Amino acid sequence: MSSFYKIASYTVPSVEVTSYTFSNIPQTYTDLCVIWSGRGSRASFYSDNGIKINGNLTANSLNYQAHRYYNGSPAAYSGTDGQYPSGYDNGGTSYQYQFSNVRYYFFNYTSSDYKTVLVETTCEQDSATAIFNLNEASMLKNTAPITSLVAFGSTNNYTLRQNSVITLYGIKDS
Amino acid sequence: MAIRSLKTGSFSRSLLVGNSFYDPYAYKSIATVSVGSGGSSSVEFTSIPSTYTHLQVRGFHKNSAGAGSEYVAVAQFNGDTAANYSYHYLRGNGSSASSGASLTDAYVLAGYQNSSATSQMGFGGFVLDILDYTNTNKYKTVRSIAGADVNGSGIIDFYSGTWRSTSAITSIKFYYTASNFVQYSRFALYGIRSA
Repeated sequence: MSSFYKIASYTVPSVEVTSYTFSNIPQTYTDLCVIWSGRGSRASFYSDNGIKINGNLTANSLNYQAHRYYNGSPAAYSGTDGQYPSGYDNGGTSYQYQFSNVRYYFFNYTSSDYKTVLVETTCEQDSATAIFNLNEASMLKNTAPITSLVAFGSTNNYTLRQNSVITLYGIKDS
Repeated sequence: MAIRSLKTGSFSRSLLVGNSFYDPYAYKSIATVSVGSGGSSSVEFTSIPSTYTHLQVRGFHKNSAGAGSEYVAVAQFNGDTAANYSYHYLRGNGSSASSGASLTDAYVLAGYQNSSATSQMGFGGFVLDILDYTNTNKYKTVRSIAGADVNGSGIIDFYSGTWRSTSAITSIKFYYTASNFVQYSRFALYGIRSA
């Protein structure tokens, strides 16, 4: 039976931010999990979010498989040129109370293998088309242990809105 | 036996010797409901404590309508039966993907289930997450992964849903819109802390 520990948590204050860094992540857990309730400053109904691993933002460092529900239709797609695992927050101005529901899961983060990351994103509102749900499985082509994670509102510098909550948990196997 | 605090020098009969209790675990069981032999039309968690940041429900359920009957367990918050909910789903059935939505409904989707003639089969499972359930600056958004396999056929679903209310969630009710939960259906509520 595994145990689930909070490592650190951040709530975006009234002065919005572009990112928040979880640094000096303890190397004593088996897996990491980030739970994210967010809203971004992008004008569209959705706003990108992502997590830089060890500060890295290098092209072609991530392969991914995904399926999504976007613009009223399901689709499956993949990529080999990713920079970071990514999800989506709610955006725009019409639904100020609408926040995303996102989970990032980082497996075996202290190992010297490539890292597997799962992302589950829901960006929900009462629209037939203006929603974005995504499941993504990524492989980070880097063998370094994960020691820092930067949660950010896309490379376009979208800010994270007030009351967004991002929490990092450690999961320890017995 | 008295315990002496190295910090203050005081004696106590408690191992805490004046320190407040510290629980390192962020994921705690709040309550579990197991449906009994008579079945049940619904399962409800009430008086949910506000001391956590997020909630998770793990459901294991089956309907009473008999072989081949498919139902989705739904969730309703704080007894609100009005059309204040929306949901979307992404579905796979082994050969194709589909999707759908309801924008003004009385519930969000929680978990798919497909009954079988064999009593051992047909239970569906889901894991439903509700984030920031006490925050009065947010509508409440849920995410659920759910599905069931009936010996070779089945469904895997991914749901999103919103309850358009800024009220803190204090109760959650699960039910089928036209069937009952059978015996051995089980719903477990967990709290996840971030403070």
